[in-house]
Amino acid sequence: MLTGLQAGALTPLMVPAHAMALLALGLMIGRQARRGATLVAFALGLIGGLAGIAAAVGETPANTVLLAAAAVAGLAAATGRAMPAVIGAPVALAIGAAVGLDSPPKAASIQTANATLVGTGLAAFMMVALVVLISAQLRRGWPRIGVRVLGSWVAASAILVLALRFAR
Amino acid sequence: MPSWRPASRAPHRGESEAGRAVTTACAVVLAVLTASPALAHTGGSLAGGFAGGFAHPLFGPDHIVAMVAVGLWGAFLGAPAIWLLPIVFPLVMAFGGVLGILGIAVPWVETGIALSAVVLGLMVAFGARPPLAVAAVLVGVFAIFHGYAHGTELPPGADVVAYSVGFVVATGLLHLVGIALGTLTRWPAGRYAVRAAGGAIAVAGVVFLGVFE
Repeated sequence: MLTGLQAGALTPLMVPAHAMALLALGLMIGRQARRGATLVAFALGLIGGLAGIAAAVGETPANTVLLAAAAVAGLAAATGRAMPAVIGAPVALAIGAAVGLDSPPKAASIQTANATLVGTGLAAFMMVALVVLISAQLRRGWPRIGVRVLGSWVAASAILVLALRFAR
Repeated sequence: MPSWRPASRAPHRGESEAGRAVTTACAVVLAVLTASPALAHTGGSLAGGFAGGFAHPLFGPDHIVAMVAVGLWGAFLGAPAIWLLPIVFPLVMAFGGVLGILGIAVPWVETGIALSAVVLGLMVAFGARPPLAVAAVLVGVFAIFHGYAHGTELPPGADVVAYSVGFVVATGLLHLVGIALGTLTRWPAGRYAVRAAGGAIAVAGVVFLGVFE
């Protein structure tokens, strides 16, 4: 059986909207020359979102916000240009907060629920850090184009899902 | 060396090694955190949604030939079209998908999709090299038709994110197939082969138009 920590760690990887948004964010940050502010904003948003869900804030539009922010981050990655921190940091903050708020733990005890939230936070941050480190090294030729193509795929998918959500 | 490659700062040896070490560390921690026993038949929603979306463009021959033609033409046009078209196409296709999802009427969608195979196939067959803006607009217009058709067929299920990702990825991979085949244009015989493929795509498009029915 999965422990609370493992179950939480799997959430950002197994929920398509989360994985998509974290991937797009990592690709976007990877293009930035100064990444500190954006990464800190993401971490703060993530901690805030997880704290919010731990405090049982109730239903929020986190998933829709997550898709919208994923579309912005994906578009930024698709352009191949470095997103200024003044725009990148709020996008990162939104994605972090939305991932946290959209990850309610399914656990029988408070202890397991807390472990699940810790796992979610760690895995989400590790995933973004990993994508940032990899994409930051893909600055030339075909790998750089691959990053841009991935960004456009994420943006296109997010836009379609948002449209479907608003059409309902 | 192609001129579109951006100049880049060469990393110091230590910086590069440190980056690699941190990347490896992150990957190991993430793998350990998410390691779990193999559980059969889990994540059905994710797999089914993604697989369903991924299969969607692959079961439409009109979509397949048009997407491959985009890649072939991009390869024929060279840089920057070769990488610009596969980046722009999914975004414009998403715009078409939004029109379809919102129920905004777009006329002659099926005709437009069939025409995309005819026109793009002919572009490849004749080795047409219009200005980049003209090529982008042409491909963009056809992307709207393809996106519209996909958008109207998106299932309203809970796994719609995975489905959308699946069919966007499949569409992109079809472009990459076209681009990969298009690299044959580096050789004289390959250029003839690619142009012949364009001709075959155009003929297929004429069949899709129902001209022979």
